[in-house]
Amino acid sequence: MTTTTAAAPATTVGAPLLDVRGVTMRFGGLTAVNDVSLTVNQGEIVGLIGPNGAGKTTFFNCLTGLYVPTEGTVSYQGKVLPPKPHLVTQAGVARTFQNIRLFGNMTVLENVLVGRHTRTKEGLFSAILRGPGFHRAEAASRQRALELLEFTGLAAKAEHLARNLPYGEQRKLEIARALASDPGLLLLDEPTAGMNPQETNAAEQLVFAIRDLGIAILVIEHDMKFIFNLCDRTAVLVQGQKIVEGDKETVQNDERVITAYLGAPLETATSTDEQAEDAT
Amino acid sequence: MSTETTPVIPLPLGAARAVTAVGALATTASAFLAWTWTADFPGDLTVTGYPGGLQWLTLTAGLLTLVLALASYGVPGLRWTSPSGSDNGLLYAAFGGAAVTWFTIIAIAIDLNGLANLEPGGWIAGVASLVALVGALGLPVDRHPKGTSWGLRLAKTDQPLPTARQLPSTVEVLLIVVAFAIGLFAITFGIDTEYGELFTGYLILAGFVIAALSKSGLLPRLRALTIKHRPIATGAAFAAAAGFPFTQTSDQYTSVAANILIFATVALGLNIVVGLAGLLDLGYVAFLGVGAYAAALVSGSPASPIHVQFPFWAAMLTGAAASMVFGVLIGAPTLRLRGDYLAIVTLGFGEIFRITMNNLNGTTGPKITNGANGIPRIPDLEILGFNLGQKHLIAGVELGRFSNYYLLMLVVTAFVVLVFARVGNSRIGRAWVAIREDETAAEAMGINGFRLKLLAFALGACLAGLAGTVQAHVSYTVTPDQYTFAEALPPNSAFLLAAVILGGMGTISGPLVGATLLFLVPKKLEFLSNYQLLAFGITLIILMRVRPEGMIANRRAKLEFHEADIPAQASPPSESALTKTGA
Amino acid sequence: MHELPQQLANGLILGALYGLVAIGYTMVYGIVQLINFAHGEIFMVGGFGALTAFLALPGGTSLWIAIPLMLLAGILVSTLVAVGAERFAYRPLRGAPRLAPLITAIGLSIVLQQLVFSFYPDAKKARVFPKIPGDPFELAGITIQRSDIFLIIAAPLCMMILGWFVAKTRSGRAMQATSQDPDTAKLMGIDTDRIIVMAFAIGAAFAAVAAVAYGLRTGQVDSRMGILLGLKAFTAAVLGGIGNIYGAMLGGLALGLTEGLATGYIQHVPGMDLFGGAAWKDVWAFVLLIVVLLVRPQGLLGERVADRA
Repeated sequence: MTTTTAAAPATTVGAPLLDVRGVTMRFGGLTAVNDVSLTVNQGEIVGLIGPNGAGKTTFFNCLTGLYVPTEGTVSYQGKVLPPKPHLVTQAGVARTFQNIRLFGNMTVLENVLVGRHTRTKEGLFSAILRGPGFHRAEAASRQRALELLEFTGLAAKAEHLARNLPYGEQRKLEIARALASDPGLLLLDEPTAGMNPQETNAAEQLVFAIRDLGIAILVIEHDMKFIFNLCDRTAVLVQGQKIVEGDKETVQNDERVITAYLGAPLETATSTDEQAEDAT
Repeated sequence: MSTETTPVIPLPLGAARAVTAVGALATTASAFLAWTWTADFPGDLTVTGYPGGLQWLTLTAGLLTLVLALASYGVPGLRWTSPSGSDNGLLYAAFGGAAVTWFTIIAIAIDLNGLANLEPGGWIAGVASLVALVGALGLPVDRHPKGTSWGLRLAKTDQPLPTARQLPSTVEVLLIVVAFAIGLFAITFGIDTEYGELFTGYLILAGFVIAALSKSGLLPRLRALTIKHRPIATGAAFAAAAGFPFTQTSDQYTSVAANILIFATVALGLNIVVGLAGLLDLGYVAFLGVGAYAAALVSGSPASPIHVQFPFWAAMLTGAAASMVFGVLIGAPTLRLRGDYLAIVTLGFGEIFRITMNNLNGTTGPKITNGANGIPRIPDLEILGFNLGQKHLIAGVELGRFSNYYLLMLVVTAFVVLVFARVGNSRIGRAWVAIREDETAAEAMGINGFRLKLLAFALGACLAGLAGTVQAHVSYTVTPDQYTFAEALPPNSAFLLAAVILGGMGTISGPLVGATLLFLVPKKLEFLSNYQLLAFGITLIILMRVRPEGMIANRRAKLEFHEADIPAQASPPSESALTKTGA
Repeated sequence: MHELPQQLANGLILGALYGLVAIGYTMVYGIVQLINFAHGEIFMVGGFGALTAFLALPGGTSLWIAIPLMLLAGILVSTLVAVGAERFAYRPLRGAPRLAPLITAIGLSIVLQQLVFSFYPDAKKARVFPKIPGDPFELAGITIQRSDIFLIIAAPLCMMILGWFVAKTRSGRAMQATSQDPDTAKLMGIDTDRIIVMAFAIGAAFAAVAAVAYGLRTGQVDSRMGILLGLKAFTAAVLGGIGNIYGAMLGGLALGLTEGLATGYIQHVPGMDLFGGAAWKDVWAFVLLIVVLLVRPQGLLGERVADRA
């Protein structure tokens, strides 16, 4: 019932978990992602930023098997990931979506239970016959799902319909649902889009808490403050190419980033450095 | 809550209650009067002192209105009939009384040419029911505020009910049993109606009574009880269903009932495919046909080219397996596709099946199915020495051929209900619903969409095949024309789909209720002769406009306690039309 | 094998008929993602509209005058019925679960069939429709019935007009925009309700043209003629790539050709001697559909829609 990765001590950075090599994605004549390489190590929070249309989500979709990359490989724990979303999740990489994609007509608890799918085995006949094994597995799944709802602060809403949740809680539910597959790596696609500062702050705490469970995180964001507070390393994607990667100073001071993406020197981001240290 | 509690007609509360109660009492009493002078109108409404035919319906409505009116007064001992404390239920009951009474009056006028054929009793009934209705309209009912919609603006009474009084569980069980006995009586009454007027009146009244009981809070109470005692409630439901043949004196209506069960069971199987997994199957009846043909071929019928006679259990397995094989053959290539392609391929498969069965007659193809003549003279089943074709005396009641098959079919239905309930509430069922809701997200949760869709498709096919094996024996003959896309009578693919969607997708009782209605309505509306199908089509459109979510809303839809609170349609109206589904 | 050109010609003529009806399915589906099951009946009422016009004309009216008037009447009836159906049976259900309008469509199709069956004079059985009199044409060994001339002229003409309308007019472009993204189209100030009505109306008008062609060709119309033809036309729309108007016509032609060839040739394939002829042509039409969907899931001219995550 615990996570599949051997939990590394919370803040130390471990061996490479996700290894992306030279991924290129072309749609007809359009190259959306061009030769991007990236690694995420155990226990790390890595950020991916870039202007609109830079190919961030396309890159994500290549990682999670939704798209088959034209070139390049994605491997997780040393094994090449097959380009099928369900096999990627099975291997231990879970994701959330930029435009929330919950199962709206299912309850909050059921949404998380669906996330347990890969970690349970009960098939059709087991469900019809309802032997003791079935009841045990269902109870265990429920238990784990409730734990995750507790963890994300949604326990009180377990029996509500997912589509009736307020926006911020829908985001949380997506994360809880992804965590239910016991991932070693969690991919978050703009987890704070549309959130107010308080909600963003809560999301930040949640991401740190997930990292403390020993789950590595790769996050796409627009919110500079959020990403620099959060990430150990940040990569910048512009027009499908990774132009720089490093800690926040490296990224903030990089000429190409400033010209291509930020447009002007970053004052707001530097002023939040102290907060970032407090948070960690 | 964005509702207000105001009367439709401004009347003082006391006067409104009194008028309602008096009107209801008078309506009840008027059912005992003579309404017309001649027995030419079916049901003989000429007798004073005893109700007949449609008068029974008026009597029922009058009594229900009276009881609810007294409960509204707070008469001790009757308050339990209106746990919600809302007068909306009373209003619906009064509406029902007026509707069924005036329907009768109009039917008399039309059948006998003119209102002159009405005796004073009929006029009294008409006026009394209207008085009750006027009184009820003067009661404060829960309504939407002005400007939000039109007409009476009646609101759903969506406040949670006050907590029920704690009853000993034996009493609760007894209540469930009584409720199901009443249900059996009501359904038996509907199936046994002998003339169209009575059936139409019955449908009108049933609609209003159900509305009245659910607004008064009685049905929600009963639902809570059945959820609490689920095994007993399920048992009571099946006991009530099994009791049906014992209420019948001839096989006339048991054959109807047996066919309803077949239709309903297949609809429930389709609900796995459409309601749970969200796959639009327009050729589902072909799987019933595959099962029926398979069973007919191994039944020992002299017309079958295979001269074998399997025991019934083996024939059932053959039929189910044959259907499943076809399900996989159709599903494997098409379920990889998204969108509505499955719909057209299944529609095509349904047609191919029918045409092929027609063609395998020895001249346009190999001689297997006898073409359009079908496989006749399918022998009756014999299970453990019990010949289903013969009459048997059970518990002092003589059960005929169709009663036997009805009971056999009930076992099959029970099995399908069990499968649906258990699989629906399991890892597999959740995965199906997830695929229906958002296939991409479901795959991202580790669900192998293709495999699970194929599983749903194959299971659905298998269950339909199972029902088909019984159907072959019930109807003696299988012919290709029994398995068309759209025909005047069920079962056919269009009616099956209609039963599922009309009844309520993803529920168990929905398709059962939907199938029963879709079977009975065309059959009972035979008095409309030429206009029967026309009336059916219009009913379909109206029902869909009134309740697009189906008559029995999904358990999940019921979770929307706060529907009224959500700002009017948070999502753009076109969204659901474009929702990506795995269909 | 001298009959090959003849079978091809027959197939193409039949296919053009399917294609004209398929336009209605594909336009409505492209914009509101609704399988308009009643479209076969829209086609059927168009035929009866045209027949009514013919019967209203004094006997002996030249077909040169009668056919345009019949066409006009058919288009008028079909369009009115389709627009009315959209307004009263589909539009109120636009926010409802996706399958709800499908059921009203089935209901509507029963209603239309029964209305014609019960209330049109003598429509209990097929009614005679005028044919263009005269001997068939002989052209390079191919026999073409005179009545088919109407379809041979009307089908390409209709396609040209529609192609021009969609590509060149303001409404046509609004229609394309709506089919790609209704929400954005609405934000851009397009009256999507009007566009949807327009799609229904155009589809109905084409169905009426097809109905006149069908009547001339077979010499009769009946209240049930929309069922099988609607089914075939829908198949054609999917075959060609649903949402694509040229695809619908191409799908129709492919379907017609398959049927023509299946009728004439399958029985000559070794081992298939029992599976040819008219009795099996519908089976082969659907087999073609399944094969095409396997090879090209989006249909012949359809675009693969990437699922944006």
